[in-house]
Amino acid sequence: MTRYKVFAAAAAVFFISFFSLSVSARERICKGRDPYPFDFEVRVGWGGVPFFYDSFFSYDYDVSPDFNTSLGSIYGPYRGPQYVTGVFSAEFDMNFRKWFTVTVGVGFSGRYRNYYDSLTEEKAGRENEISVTFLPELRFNWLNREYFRMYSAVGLGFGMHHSNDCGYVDREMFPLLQLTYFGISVGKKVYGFAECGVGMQYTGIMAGLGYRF
Amino acid sequence: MNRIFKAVLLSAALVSVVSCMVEESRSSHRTKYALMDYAECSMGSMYLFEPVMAVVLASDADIYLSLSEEDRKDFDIGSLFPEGLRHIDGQSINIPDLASIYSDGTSFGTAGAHWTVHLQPGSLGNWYAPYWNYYNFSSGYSNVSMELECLGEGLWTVTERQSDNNSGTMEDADITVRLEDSQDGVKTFAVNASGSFVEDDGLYAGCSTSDDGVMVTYSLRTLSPLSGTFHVSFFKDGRQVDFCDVTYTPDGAVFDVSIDED
Repeated sequence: MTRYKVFAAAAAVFFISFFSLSVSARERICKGRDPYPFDFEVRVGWGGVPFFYDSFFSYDYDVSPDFNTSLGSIYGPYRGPQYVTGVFSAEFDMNFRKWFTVTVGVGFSGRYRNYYDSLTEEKAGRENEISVTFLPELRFNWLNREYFRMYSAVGLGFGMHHSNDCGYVDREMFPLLQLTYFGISVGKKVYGFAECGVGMQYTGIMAGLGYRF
Repeated sequence: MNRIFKAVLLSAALVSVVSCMVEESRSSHRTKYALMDYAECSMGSMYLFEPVMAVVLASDADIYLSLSEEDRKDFDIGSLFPEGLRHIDGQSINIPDLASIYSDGTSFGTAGAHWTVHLQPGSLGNWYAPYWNYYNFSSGYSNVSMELECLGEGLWTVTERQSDNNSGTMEDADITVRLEDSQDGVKTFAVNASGSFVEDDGLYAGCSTSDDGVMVTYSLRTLSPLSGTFHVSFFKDGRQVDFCDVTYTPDGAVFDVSIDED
């Protein structure tokens, strides 16, 4: 539990500090300059999988069932299908300029699969993994119209993942780099968005809804 | 903190309803061919073919080492060792990429003689390869060393076997190789063997030959099993879970396996 407390404390300090600094910086920078209809945004999204799900991104060679060098490989448990939840994210955005937005967000994703006994074909174990991320980003709105926006973003944060592979538990914190190379949002006050990115929070396509105020 | 983390885990369980499958299930490795492969190539090589190979190499080495220095100069080494030959010392030789043979100073065919044959990884696969599986032999990736004792004319037993294969150990091994016939460059051996191979997690395989043993011929670096049955039983946690009986005929091996489907 100590590691969780450290992680939670670090995340809380980080968020409060970053949020406070960002809001106060925004007030100083934006005061009387470059009026923008919406100061803040909140949005939620879903999609992609974390880049460190390496069994998903690398070719996991499964030795032919007919080629075994030990009894353990013949009678050991075999893997069932693997499921992922995709990445759920929620973020709070602060618009400094029409072209520049600072965001702070959290993400969550999960993965699991069962193992089955070779003799009885009954469930023999389960492998699951969850990860939680905290990610501030700098977003560059290179096309920003009333109902339409296109952007790219880069973020640096940290996360923690907890995995349990048939009783073998592993927890670790990790630094997080996220690149969104293309994103698009459509709508004025309430909008939908979709973006493509690669990184430790998600890789692939993410989409969702947001609200500006 | 515990409640918070449990709440996170509960959320994880709830959102798992939206999870999607990204990888298909793998198949079990407990198949008919896996048992056939293990019985003939793993157990068969340990208890049948490696001992015959060792006896053949030691017999050939005995012919050469029994020659005087003068006779060795005129001897056609290639007739016995096409791979060539190197001297380790006065009583031991090395056949490149195949084996090293160490004598105790007495003739290999003398009762009480103790010789050691060290097989190099992959060497057996060049002598005996079932048509359906060429690669999977116990010595395929491991060094194997056998001590042979002569029990009488044309009869040897394996007194000790060591391997750097760490998957398990041979136990209660009783292996004898008898030279039944030798003519026109073809030797026929009868192998009687019983024993087991024990791995971790309560897994082991037991084996035995039929009463008459398994007849194996040797000619020009080729082993050909001709007759006899090799029984292999598979055990987990003390209970037999599978079997594979290999019956050798001049036309090939016939398998009787506890698993029916392919």
